[in-house]
Amino acid sequence: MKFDDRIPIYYQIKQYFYQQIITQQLQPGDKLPGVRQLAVDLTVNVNTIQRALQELITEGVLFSKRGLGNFVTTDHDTIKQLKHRVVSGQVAWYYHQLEKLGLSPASMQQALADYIEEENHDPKS
Amino acid sequence: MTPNLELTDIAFRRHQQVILDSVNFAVSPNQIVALLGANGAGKTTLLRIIAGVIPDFTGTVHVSEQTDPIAIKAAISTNFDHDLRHSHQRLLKYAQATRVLWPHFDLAQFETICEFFELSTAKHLDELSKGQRKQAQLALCLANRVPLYLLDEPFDGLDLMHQTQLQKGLLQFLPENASVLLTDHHVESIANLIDRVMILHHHTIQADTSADQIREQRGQSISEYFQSFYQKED
Amino acid sequence: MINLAKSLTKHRLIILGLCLIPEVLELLVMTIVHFFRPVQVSDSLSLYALLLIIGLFVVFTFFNEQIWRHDRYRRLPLRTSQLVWATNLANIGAVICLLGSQVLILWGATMIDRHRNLRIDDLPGLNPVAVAVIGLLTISLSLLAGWGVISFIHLMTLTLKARLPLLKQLLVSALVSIMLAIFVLVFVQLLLKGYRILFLPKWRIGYLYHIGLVTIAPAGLGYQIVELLGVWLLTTLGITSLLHRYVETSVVA
Repeated sequence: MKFDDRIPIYYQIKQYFYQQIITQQLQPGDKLPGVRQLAVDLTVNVNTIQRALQELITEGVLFSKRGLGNFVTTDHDTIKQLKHRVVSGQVAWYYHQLEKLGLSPASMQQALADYIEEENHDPKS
Repeated sequence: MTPNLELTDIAFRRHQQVILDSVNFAVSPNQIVALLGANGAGKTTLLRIIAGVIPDFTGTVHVSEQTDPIAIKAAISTNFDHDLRHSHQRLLKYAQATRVLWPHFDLAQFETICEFFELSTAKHLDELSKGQRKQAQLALCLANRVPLYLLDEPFDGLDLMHQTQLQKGLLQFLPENASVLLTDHHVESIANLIDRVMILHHHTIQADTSADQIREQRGQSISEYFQSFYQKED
Repeated sequence: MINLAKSLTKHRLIILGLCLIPEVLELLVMTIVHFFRPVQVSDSLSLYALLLIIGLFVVFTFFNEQIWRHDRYRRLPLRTSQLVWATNLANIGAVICLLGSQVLILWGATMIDRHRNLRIDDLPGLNPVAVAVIGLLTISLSLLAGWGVISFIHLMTLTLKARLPLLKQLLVSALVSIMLAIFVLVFVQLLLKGYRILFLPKWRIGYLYHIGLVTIAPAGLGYQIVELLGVWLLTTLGITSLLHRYVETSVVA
């Protein structure tokens, strides 16, 4: 995986796991691969993986069972909150981008609605 | 935890010219440290001093608390121990001879690493392509189970696929609690791997910081940080 | 330790070959000189052996230094003593080959000086089987000596050629081919003359008697063995002091 070198990599790894969990590629209760395996798969330093996992455990997104490994939380509330947090973060970013262009909140909502309609009729991706 | 490597006041001159002066640092277990510097700054010389190949330097080198030169050599593995260009031997035979000369060399581990790289050990050494030779050198280096690894430009001249494969191999097969000190000119390609960055400039270590500190405190990539050292002089 | 000696294979062969070249040169010189002035076997051995043994020591030490200087040995976690013993083990093989080449020289000398040195009339009764075995041993030891020299030449050319520009590489190949051709010619000539030893009782007995004479003579085989051991001791001391400089890094405070 290619990471942005200007942003701490453990932070980007956390984002990666958030995405995996939100999109349900990692289900609640799923076991994560071992630290070394993750390091090899993502081609990242083991210590960086450790740090990311440790923070995810502190946040409650993952939990650790001694001797068995790291697992995705089964607490659906936590996952819901996580999704909300990540989505809000994305929305906040777009809001500030459009604000910089001088759009009012009403214009922003219109712009978004227009874009969604265009996408449904004529998908660009 | 005791450091795997500790250098105290290392200084070295060659033909009356100062190459290194007052080099001090320590490397803890489980660290991967990048030693950066311009061409000719003395990185390779420093690695060779640590490896015990250059005899007439001043200062002390401790590897896992050892100072005896022979014990130090047994505790270090480098990727420049083996020049594989001039021999017609088969890779496996060469590895078997290596086992005799280095006490901690694990032949089974060597074969596992070669399998990981999809490198046949029946090949003759002088028939290896550049990429295969780098794979073989890294396999021979990592099969030696020691606390300290010195890698001098291990990914030099390789395409991105080979580089990534070698990096994965390094991460997979590095022993528990071992440390790595590596040099590379393409800082971007090793940015994912390293914990810590040291910059060798004007004969001494002028910067010693963790990779994350560079990103968090300065918002710079390691490459940008390194280049800023040289821009200061322009 | 044997494994260590085997691992230093390339350099063991170089050392082996180095020990053999003076002996082969001795043989060539004797053969050539004979055509101008027939010499007694014992005379020629002492005359040339001394010069060549000195030359051997110089060349031997020089090449060993070149080898030990190489980074490779400085990187190995081995003590000077271990490397010296491994070299000595390899040298044992060299000494065996040297003895074989001595026998070859004697055989050649016999062929050259046969009319003067063979006293067939007053010979003790000898077991023909024993004599035949000695003959076989002679041939095998000589072949071993030849193999050693050829391996050495092969190795030296490989080592040299890697570092030379194309024209000089061709020159080296040409020189080596000439050397090999001379060696093969001399060896074949001796074999052709010597085969009679195996088939004619008188020749066999005479050869054996001749060897006995030369072994106990002042410049004979026994003397040569002592000489060799002396050289071996000197070179071991030389290697130890040189190696120490390169292998065991000393830190200057």
